[in-house]
Amino acid sequence: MASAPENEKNASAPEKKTLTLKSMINNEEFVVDEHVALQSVTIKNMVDSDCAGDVIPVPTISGEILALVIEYCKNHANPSASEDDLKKADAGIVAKDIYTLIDLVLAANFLDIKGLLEVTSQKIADSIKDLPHQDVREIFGVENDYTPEEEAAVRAEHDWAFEGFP
Amino acid sequence: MKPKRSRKKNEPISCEEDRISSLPDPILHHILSSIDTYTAVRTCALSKRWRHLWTSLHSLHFDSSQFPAQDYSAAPTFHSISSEGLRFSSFVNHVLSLRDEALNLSSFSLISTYDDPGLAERCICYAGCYNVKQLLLYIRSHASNIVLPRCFTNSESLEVLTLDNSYYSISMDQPFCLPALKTLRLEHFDDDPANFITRTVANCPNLETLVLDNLDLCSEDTESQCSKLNITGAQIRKLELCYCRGHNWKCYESEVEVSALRLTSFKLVGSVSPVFSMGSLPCLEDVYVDLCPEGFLADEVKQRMLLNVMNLLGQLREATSVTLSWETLEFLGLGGSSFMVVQKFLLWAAVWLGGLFSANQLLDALGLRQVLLACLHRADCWCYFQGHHMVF
Repeated sequence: MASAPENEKNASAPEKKTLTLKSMINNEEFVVDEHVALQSVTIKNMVDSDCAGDVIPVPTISGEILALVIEYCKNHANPSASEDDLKKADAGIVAKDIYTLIDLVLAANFLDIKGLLEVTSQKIADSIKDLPHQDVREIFGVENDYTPEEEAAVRAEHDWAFEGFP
Repeated sequence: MKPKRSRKKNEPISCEEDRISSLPDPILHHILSSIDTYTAVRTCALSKRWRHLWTSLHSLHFDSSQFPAQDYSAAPTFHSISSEGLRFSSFVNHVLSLRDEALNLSSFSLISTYDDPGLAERCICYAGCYNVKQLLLYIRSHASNIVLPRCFTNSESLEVLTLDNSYYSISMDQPFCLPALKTLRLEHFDDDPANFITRTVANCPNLETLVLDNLDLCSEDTESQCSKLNITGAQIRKLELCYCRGHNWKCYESEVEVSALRLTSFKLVGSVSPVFSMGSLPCLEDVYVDLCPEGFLADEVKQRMLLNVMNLLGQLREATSVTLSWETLEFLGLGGSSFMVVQKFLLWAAVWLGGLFSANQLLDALGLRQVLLACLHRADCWCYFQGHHMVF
């Protein structure tokens, strides 16, 4: 069992292709195996249609976030990782402050990586859950642009969802 | 409570802009679809940006436990609905009628312990009409069996279905016919469901994963006999049969025939004496068997079960990896000398580790299950497992 990943590595070593991803925000470059990067549908489409040069520029995503995205893709490209391992690794990747999470969800959306979009959305959703609105507004910096009268009206209109809610 | 108009500026990670509200709509819909619908709807009062977002949810998750009964002394009888039940129904109905009707649904779940078959039927119909891909139903209906509507039982979009029949809510007269279904999980199906399951599985040609949890194939009239279960599917890769277990549970013979050429992963759990037809389990990769006969077993029944389990293990001889639970080993061991071998081995391993482990912990920690199987082989069990020999 233990020697199986070794064998695979050796077998695929001669034809291993890599891609270079470059963050256009701080010009950081990352060299990744092609099969890792291809989990991004956006990158896959670029490669498939021969639009990708030696270096693939990634606009609007910082190096810090791109590193997290690549970590996620590497974990999920590993065929010997068990479901439990992946869950743990995912939890580690999304254990970040809310602003990193928002960057991450935008990156997952732009690069079209379904699994990463799911886990980051879930993490953000979990932090909204069970909180009074004032706390949600404070944590996320949501500006309440309702007047008190308007907010009361919205709640009244949805009174079937607000009974007993602070 | 009056909302504050000014935000606190002393937050350590203060961000000048409202980043979350500036996310594009599809991402916000995604985030809101990841939580229960009750919470999602209430975000409409956060700010104007959030006012209508929930109406574009692509996943709906209703759970009646969020509308708990407050006064248990005034518990309703089975045939009436409590005021909390009415609130829950009203909430669900409001959401269904206000949600954007141009959008399909990707996922829908209804967990309701309130007895309201009308609501359940409306939900199932709604999910069917909006081409839901994943559906989970855990519903209670004492008044009558819910006849699942045709838009659901013949849905062409449904890929993942989880049904819990704890409350005998689901009518098993008509098998489902779901061409796109890949994962089917049925829980608490009892009172002779074999025919229903057999026909439903045969009607779902793309099924890849079948899980039957808390399964009881006996009918209420015939305690010790049950109908044969037939599992036929060219695409089935993963099969889990978990028979009921627990105190006072009976142990009966269950005949199963599997014809699934692509099957690689197989799990068999519970208090049952398994009778698998020849050729049912040809070349598996991953097998887990945890059989524990519970309740009183007559010697004759025990002998037959032993034979049945041996036959089953004999069928698994080509499997790459087989895990047997300690209970299963113990049960097998009672029949011959292999028990002593296993015990001797365990004792040796326990001394070697210098700690007190339960048999299961020990087996898990050392990954020794396969070695144990080799021990069984040495003890002249009928099964043979490749490559693992151990000399004491």
